[in-house]
Amino acid sequence: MAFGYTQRILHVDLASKKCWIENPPERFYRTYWGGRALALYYMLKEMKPRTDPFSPDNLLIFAPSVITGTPAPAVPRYTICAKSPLTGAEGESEAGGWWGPELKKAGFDAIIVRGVSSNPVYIWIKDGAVEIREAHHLWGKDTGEVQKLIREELADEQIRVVQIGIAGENLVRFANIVNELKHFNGRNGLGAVMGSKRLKAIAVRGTKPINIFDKRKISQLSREIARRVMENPLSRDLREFGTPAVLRGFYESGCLPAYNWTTGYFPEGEKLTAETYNKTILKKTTGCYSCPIRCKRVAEVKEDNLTVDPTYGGPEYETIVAFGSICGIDDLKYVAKANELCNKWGIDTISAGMTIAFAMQCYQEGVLNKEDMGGIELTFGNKEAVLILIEKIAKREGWGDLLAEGSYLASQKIGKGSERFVYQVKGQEIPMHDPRIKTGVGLSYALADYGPDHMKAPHDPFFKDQNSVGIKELSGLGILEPISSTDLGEKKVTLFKILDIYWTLLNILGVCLFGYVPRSLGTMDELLEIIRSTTGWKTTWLELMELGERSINMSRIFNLREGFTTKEDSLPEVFFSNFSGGPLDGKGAIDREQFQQALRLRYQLMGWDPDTGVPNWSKLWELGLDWLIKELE
Amino acid sequence: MIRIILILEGYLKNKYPSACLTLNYSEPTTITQVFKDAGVSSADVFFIKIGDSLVKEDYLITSSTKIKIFPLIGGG
Repeated sequence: MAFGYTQRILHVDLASKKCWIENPPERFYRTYWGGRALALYYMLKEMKPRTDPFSPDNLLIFAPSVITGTPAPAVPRYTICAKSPLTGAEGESEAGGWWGPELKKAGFDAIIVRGVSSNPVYIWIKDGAVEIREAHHLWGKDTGEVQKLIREELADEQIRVVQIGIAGENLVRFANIVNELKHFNGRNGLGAVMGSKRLKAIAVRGTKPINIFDKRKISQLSREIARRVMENPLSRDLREFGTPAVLRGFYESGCLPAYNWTTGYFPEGEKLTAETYNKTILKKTTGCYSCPIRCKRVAEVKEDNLTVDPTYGGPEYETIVAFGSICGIDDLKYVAKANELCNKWGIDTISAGMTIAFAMQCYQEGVLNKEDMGGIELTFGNKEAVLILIEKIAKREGWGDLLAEGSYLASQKIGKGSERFVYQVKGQEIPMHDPRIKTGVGLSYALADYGPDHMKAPHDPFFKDQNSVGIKELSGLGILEPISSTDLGEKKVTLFKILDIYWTLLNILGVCLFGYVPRSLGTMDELLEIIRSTTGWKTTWLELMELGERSINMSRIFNLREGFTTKEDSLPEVFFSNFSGGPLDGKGAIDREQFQQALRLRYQLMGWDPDTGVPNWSKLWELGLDWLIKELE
Repeated sequence: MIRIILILEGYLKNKYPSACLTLNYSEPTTITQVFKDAGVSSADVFFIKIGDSLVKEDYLITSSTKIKIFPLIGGG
């Protein structure tokens, strides 16, 4: 058996309360490896097309990678997959933290959950033993309380808990799943799938070391990468300012998403910057398993009229924009409070902020009025209203019940032209990076199987110059020539085909994008050596890139089965218009025709039909996916 | 004399010896030349801002000014 794996996949049927362990052969692991590729194998094999996301037949799959849990730096991430209740497509979200490594040490390569329990339960896993436990006493409680109660109940403070909040229990379509109260499988509403199964949490404790082929080599590589990461200016910036560090560049350049994407100009942006954050609300920094960067923030506010509990971490860049400029709010303390409420109740902050901003624009444009909103004056900038609406969404109370469907479905029900105020792809709200200044990101938003995700997309600026880190470090993938961030020609499309596969692969491998090229100093050679030293396999980048491409084709076919077409590979209208206001006023519109041509070329480069986006059977043969050809008939 | 104050933002402050550099020129010059003289790699720079305007590296500077430069911005 290969090193790095436990060769044990845990299956749990919550309806019958039965568990069993599958021991796949080495060839299975070498084909599907882990993360989304492994998850999609089961979703395609075992789920029927058009399965209701909340039905017992939707599989909820937790899958770390083969290198997760090794001492290698910045590889703590794991994937959760299911059919998404927000998009109706393949649902997927990765998270860092501590839970993935702990699951591996507890003796499992993945957990596959099916069925619906008749009562609330949680799963307790310790060193290979599995128990399904009653969770009535945890249902309805805040995430912080649940983690504390589980640790007390099982008398072990080192237990790692992944769980849903009340939003997941109430089937909020953008409910998330959280581990250690600060690390989120945020997008796609996978918390609602967990809630539909009445599964409150999975607690794990593992004391067994992961079986590694060459421990000495991994330790040597880890020390070397960690040393360079500590000295690297970008890593130092991440440690000092976290992801909010990027906000200043966007704000000063006039491309900070604001007022529900109606402008990129937010003159009050200084109040949301990382420097202001550090001066006003930062309590401390923290990080993930075996990572020297420590980019996570912990915020605290202690004022007479407002407190923010540091238990729930602090807002990242995406959250600051989602509850800040997108809602017309310039008060970081309220942004931090909104973040605390979302984390306490298990809500994705991007979709929540965007959905509230959608409602604000509806209000401003007269589509909704004060009476509709239960007396709330929902103008942009009303920070108290944001906090009220988060609670109403989590509890599905009043208008919160409709907004809990997400902005796209809510607009379908509201009508009256409110669809104009929704900024989504495949039903999921877009993240806070404007594709008009990074067109490759726009392509990735449009093509992402699970809807737009800033962590799915490589970002264009890393490839803008011959001396850019992306060109220097990824030349081994054949990336040799710089391309402007706003170019959308054939070279950009070709570059982003390679990069999308590489990025997808990084997600499958549980790699944090802040730890390895092009974002940081772990090189391609070192990453390959970490994988080889973990598994003992003499793998190559050819095999690994094929793995990434295999998973993209699997998710493409999953979505085709669900009725998705090339029509859903799109961008919101706003990106085909120029910026309004600020330094970029009157500039930036993506050329619609060029974008459509780029999509067609991309399909062709992937071995897909340029008109339908359907993978060719020859591509499926090439990737060892011939068993999926019948799905295309 | 044209006095140019180059202000480095974000992680550029960590990468280069100083967060603020002053350069003097006797005649108009481009930002490309300023970067060269300051030892700043254009590969590190995403946005260049003078006053309230974004400019490109071929922008010709004809009078004393402050230039803010912002680093590459990725996702996260």
